[in-house]
Amino acid sequence: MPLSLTEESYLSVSLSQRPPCRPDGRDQLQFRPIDAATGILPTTNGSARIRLDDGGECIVGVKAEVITVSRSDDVHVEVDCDIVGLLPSSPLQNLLCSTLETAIKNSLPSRLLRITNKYSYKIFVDGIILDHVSHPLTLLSMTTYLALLDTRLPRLTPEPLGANDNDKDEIGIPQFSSDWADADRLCMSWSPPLVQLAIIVGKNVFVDATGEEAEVSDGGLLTVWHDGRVVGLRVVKTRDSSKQVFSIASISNAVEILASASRDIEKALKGIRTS
Amino acid sequence: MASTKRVYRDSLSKPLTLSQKVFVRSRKGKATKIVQEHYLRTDIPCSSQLCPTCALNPPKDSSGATRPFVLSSDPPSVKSWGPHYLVPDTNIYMKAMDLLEHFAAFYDVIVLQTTLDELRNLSLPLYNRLRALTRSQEKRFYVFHNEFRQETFVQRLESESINDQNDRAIRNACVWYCVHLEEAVAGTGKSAPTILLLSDDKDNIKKAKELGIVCTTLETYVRELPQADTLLDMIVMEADEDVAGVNRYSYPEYYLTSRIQGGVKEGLLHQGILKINQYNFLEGSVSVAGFQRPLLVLGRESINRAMHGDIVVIELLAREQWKHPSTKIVEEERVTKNDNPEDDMQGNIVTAQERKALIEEARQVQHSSAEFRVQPTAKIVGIVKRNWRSYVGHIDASSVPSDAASAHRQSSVFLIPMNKCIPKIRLRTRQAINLLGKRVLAAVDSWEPTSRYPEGHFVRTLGDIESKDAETEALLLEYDVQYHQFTQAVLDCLPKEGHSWRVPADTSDPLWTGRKDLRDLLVCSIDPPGCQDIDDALHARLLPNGNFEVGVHIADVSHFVKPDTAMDNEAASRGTTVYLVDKRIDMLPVLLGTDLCSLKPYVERFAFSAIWEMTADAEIVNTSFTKSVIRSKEAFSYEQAQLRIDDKSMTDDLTEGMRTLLRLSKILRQKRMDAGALNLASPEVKVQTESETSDPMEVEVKQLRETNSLVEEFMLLANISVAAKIYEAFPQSAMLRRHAPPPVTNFEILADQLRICKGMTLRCDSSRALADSLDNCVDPNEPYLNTLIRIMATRCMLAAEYFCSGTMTHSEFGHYGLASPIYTHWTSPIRRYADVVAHRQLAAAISYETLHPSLRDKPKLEHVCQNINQRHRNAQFAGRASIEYYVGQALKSREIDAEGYVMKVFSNGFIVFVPQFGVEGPIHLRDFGNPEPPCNFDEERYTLVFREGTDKEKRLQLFDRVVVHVETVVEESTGKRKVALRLRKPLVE
Repeated sequence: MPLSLTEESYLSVSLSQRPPCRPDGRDQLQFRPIDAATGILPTTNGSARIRLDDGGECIVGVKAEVITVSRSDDVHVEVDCDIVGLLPSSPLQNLLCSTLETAIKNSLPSRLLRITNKYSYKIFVDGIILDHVSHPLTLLSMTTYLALLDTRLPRLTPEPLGANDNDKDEIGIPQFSSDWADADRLCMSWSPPLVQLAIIVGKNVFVDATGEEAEVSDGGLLTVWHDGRVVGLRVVKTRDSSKQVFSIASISNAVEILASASRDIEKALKGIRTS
Repeated sequence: MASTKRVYRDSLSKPLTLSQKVFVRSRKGKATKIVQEHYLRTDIPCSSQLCPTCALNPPKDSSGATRPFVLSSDPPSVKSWGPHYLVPDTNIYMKAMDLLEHFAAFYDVIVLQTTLDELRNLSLPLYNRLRALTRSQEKRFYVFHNEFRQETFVQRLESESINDQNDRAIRNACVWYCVHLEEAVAGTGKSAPTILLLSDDKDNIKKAKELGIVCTTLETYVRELPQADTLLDMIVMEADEDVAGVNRYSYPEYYLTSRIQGGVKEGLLHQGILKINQYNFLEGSVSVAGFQRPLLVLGRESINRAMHGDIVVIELLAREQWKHPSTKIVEEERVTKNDNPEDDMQGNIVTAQERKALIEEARQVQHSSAEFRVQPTAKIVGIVKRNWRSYVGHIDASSVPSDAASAHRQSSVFLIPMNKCIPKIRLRTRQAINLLGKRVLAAVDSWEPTSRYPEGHFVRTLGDIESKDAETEALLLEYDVQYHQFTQAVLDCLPKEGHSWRVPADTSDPLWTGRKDLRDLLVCSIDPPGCQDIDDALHARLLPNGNFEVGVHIADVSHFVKPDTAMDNEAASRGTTVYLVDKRIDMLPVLLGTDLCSLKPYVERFAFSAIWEMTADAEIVNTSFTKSVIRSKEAFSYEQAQLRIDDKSMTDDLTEGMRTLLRLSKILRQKRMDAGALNLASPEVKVQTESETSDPMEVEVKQLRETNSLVEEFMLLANISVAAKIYEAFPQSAMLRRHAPPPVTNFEILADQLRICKGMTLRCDSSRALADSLDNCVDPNEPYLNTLIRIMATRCMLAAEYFCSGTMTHSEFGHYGLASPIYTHWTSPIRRYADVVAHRQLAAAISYETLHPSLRDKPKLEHVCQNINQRHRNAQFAGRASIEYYVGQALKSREIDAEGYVMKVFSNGFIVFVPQFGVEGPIHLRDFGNPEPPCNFDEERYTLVFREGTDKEKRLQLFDRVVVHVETVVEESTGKRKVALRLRKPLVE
């Protein structure tokens, strides 16, 4: 439901004053509580679900398939995501999928997926956003993060000693251990990237914006967080009249805030996984 | 309605718990995570007849039936444990399946689902045998689905291996059974049987004892049983790892599965079935797609523990290692005579003698100029599927320890299989002395790289060598002929009236619907003398328009054998009736085969008739098929029929009809020959047996009369007509028979031999050319030569096979030998299953009945074809082996000189074929003197020149006629009584 002029102006003013005042009383870096679970889809290699207070809900399943590859340094990842209520290949869906896919491809070392010189895993990340009120990017990214943490890849059967490894790599068809408990975690030495979106209102930056907050924002900025630092950023339209250009100062301010938020979130998500 | 409701409520009232099983399926390089969910129940019964609780509320299947309880209330008892139910661990199934199948022990066995599943992963054949045991009622094996019962289900613990979880599940089930049975007998004054866990896993035993479960090892248990020695011999041998450790030399390891699969996929390795040369146990060949000729595998090391019939993966050897096939007769018995089964681990796997044999051959490659003879060789790098089965043989007397002291202790002995393509098998036995001179059935267990011979275990004895019963059973086992009695379920499918079944007199009876009344036709049958299962009958008569009506009437077996009944399944699995010299192993119960279906004279029988209208020149004007009722006027033997036709004084209609048939059959035959049908020959002899004792009396060559070919021609015509009809009706699923044209390379050697030795040409570009050139291979001085060449040509052919029309393209349907574009078998449904299928399809094609769904099902039909092809081949082999045995017996204690022909020449001997007895056998140069006389082997000219003693030089060439001395001896290597030949004189000096 669109905001009335009065509502819009009230929100806009209270968000842009310093210090800002969010309608739900959160501070700029504060997230709403989430309800998260992993391993909810038994037939996938890894899965997770996150539910938000406002009714937003996302489920992600990760499947790994064995493929033959010609060049072993390619990383094969495909991210797909359905958004309930939107037609396939809507701009929002394209943004979500391409951002996450690029982020994962750029950060995932190919050796983690490699099986032999000829065989590699291909990772399929399939998400569904069952409902969303605020921008679904953060929601999808966090769920994907959890699902990848949960992901395990079947391990090759231990071959008897004395086997010639060179030969095996040339022509061997991989054989996998049938025990699922043997499967290796994908995220042993690698953490998945985390994509976070902030909205900019005047000079202020907010994470985890509600739908209403986004309605009055000047625009949005997303950062890709990986391995303790921001590795990518992009300006995002948050509403039809969204600004596309920001000052360096407000961008660097936003990046700083998002970096600190991402650090906290990563810690929190890892905590979910281990608990 | 009320009952449905109750069932529904019943199932709701019980809590169902969901459990999950997760595993990875690795297939064709893919890794798929599989999740199985199952509901845990509380109503899976213990199936003990002692238990009143489980009997109260047994689970019902979809039709509301319950299963009877299996485990006896009075189980067998042994000294140490009293009455007991056995719970074997998986390793027991792996080691002792033969024991479990033994009638003397192992009753009341609880087969846990956990162990059953484990067994299936480890060995499918053993799993199938265990399944068969659980189905048979007499052994009282009960499958307890412990993983589906709430109390016995175990959840996998953190960092617990699957093996440990399974062991825990087994122990859990044992505990549950103990408690459950105690509760069951409480208050009845009876005591519960002991639950005895059998396991050879030390860890499992230890943990079971901690839980208070009664458990023991297999050996300790078996020692408590009567006949312990026999039973202990049947346990699978384990490779002795300690000895293997110090061994310096071994067979090459097989490649890893991954490498084999990848290699085959990439075309670097090749997969095929290994065939061992029956004259040379060190030479095998593997036919591989993409190569014209089979690839040779030479020497023990290259054959690398593979056995005849295994599906193997091979790798080509370098070009300089290519050879041509062996020109020597090499018998395992001679080369490996001095091996000691006890200490086998010393020295090289390949003995010096074997090396010599190989090197000698390698030299000859260099001498040989004929390029086409050098064949690529390969070595075996992996085995995809073992073709191991039980083998019949006898114990090598020289391997049995002679001193009485060690005779009753467990010792290793060699079993020499009857089949020369199978290597010796090492057995451990405590009854070596008793087994000497017996036919013994043994199973192969393993073949470790460090062991020169495969390890096996004793299964049972069949009886004394050369006793009729033992030898007959031996060959039935060797050729996998199913000779057990028909089960009750099969017999229940027979008509209730039994022998008094009659065709209904009233033609308005439903059985008459769709049937033509052909009882007035002058039908007669012509068969071998004494034939009881009369499949076919014939008639011919002149029509008013001057044409002839000819009918072939076939027993209507499909009326009695309905699809998907126990009898149908049994017939499908037997595939064919097997004819031995003194015995017939029927495909169908004798009531049908020799009575109700048999087209006996003077009685009315249901038949399936093919009726043609032909001109006097045997041109077919019209073809029709119908179910019918006939009444045969006479059953002739071939000889009687011939006499009747030749008897000018007989002018009755029946005789005239037979004359018409004979005349037409000659025209048909000529037409077939003109089209290029082959007239092939196989050495056929007949053994006359004494009618009372069926002891063999005389061997005679089969006589062929005109009447034989009369019947044959019309059967061929019927088969071809039916094939066309069912293919038209069911282009995807018709049961047909094809005979592929032989590859030209098969004839290369024979053509070369004929060209060089006899100056004759053999052409094989078409069946017509082959037939013509075979006709021209005549030597006026050697009347038998033509037959000999035909016999040899037959061996170059491929075997005809059944197939389902949807699996081949139309151009591949042809029958080469008969020069017919399409063919099937329809005329002998009593003794061949393919004919039964063809009958059903034809009946559907003429809208007599609807086609049963199983006859449309292509994969299922393919399966049927595969089986009957195999059974058909085995039946032929068994029949031949039976004749061979009886020929041996008939010639026992007789010595005869007979004419023979040289069929094959080796550098150290030759093979002679004796037509009079239909036997062939080797004559070794070593038989002419010791040391072996020097010889000159001209491989190019197939000639062997040698000197016997001080005599002048003898020269033998392929196809030479020789006179040989025939006697029979018991062959040392196989224990078979075989014809032994000695050269009296070659014809050409």
